[in-house]
Amino acid sequence: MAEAVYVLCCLTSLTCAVMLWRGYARSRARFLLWSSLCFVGLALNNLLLFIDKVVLPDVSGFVGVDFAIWRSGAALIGLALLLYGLIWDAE
Amino acid sequence: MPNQTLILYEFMLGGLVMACGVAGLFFLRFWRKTRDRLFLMFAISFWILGLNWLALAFIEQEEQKTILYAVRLLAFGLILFAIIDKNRAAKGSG
Amino acid sequence: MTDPGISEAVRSLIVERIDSVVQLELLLLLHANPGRAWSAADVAQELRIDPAWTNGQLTELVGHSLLAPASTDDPRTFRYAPAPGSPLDAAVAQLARDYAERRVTIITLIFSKPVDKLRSFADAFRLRKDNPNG
Repeated sequence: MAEAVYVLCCLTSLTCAVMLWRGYARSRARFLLWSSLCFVGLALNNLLLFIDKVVLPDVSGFVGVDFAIWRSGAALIGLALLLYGLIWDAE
Repeated sequence: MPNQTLILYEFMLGGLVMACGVAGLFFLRFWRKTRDRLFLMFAISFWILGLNWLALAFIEQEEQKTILYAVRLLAFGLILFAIIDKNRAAKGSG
Repeated sequence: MTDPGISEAVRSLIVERIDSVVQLELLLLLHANPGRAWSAADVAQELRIDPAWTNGQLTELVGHSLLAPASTDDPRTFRYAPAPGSPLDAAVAQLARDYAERRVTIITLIFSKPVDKLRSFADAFRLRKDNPNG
């Protein structure tokens, strides 16, 4: 059950990222670029969660860094980019 | 998880919760300004995501952490619903 | 775009709720006939525009609270929405007068709306690309 949810969340994030990227290509509004990258980060977060819990449950990390750090790092970078876009480019 | 990693993880979770809170506030303001309920749904989604990471920061048992997938599903499900809703409203044009 | 002749109420009405000259014409048509329920076909015939597209434009005006469905049974009919005497109604009435007297100014105001980034964000999630305002 949890596996399906992680996959769905990843796909949803990717869908948003693609839609916003295409919107950025159409309108050249930078806010859409940052939003798109945020959803890429969220997609990575869910993908890494899936890999961590489902694909490699016995492996705790990658190149010495815990999966939890990679996961949160991806989401954090995405959200930082979103915040940057919200503050500087959204209006 | 070694202690140093745990500290870093908790720190990042704190950042994520705050970022989600702020992002949600921005989307809430956009909803007020544009009256487009897509922004309201995004605001709520980001707040729910923030709650997800908040819970992860304080819950220690793995089993309880796994249940949080339901919260995650709620957040992303709402985003999906917002997209579907936006396209149903647009059916009348063109 | 500063024209001292156009009031702030009319200006914000245009900026917030009207996206094209056609929408303006639709609004003023229904404003002139407040008691009547119009279908998209009626309106299209009256203004000589495409009926399928008209329905979408009318629906957008409903979204901005300028029009409303005429009855709950038939969502395909529309009527003028703002209550008589309300600020919105007053703004629309003023807009009708301004449009009659200073048509070019009003049209320029509609076309000079800045690229709305929030609108672009919301429209990015539309799957159909034939949005006339995109």
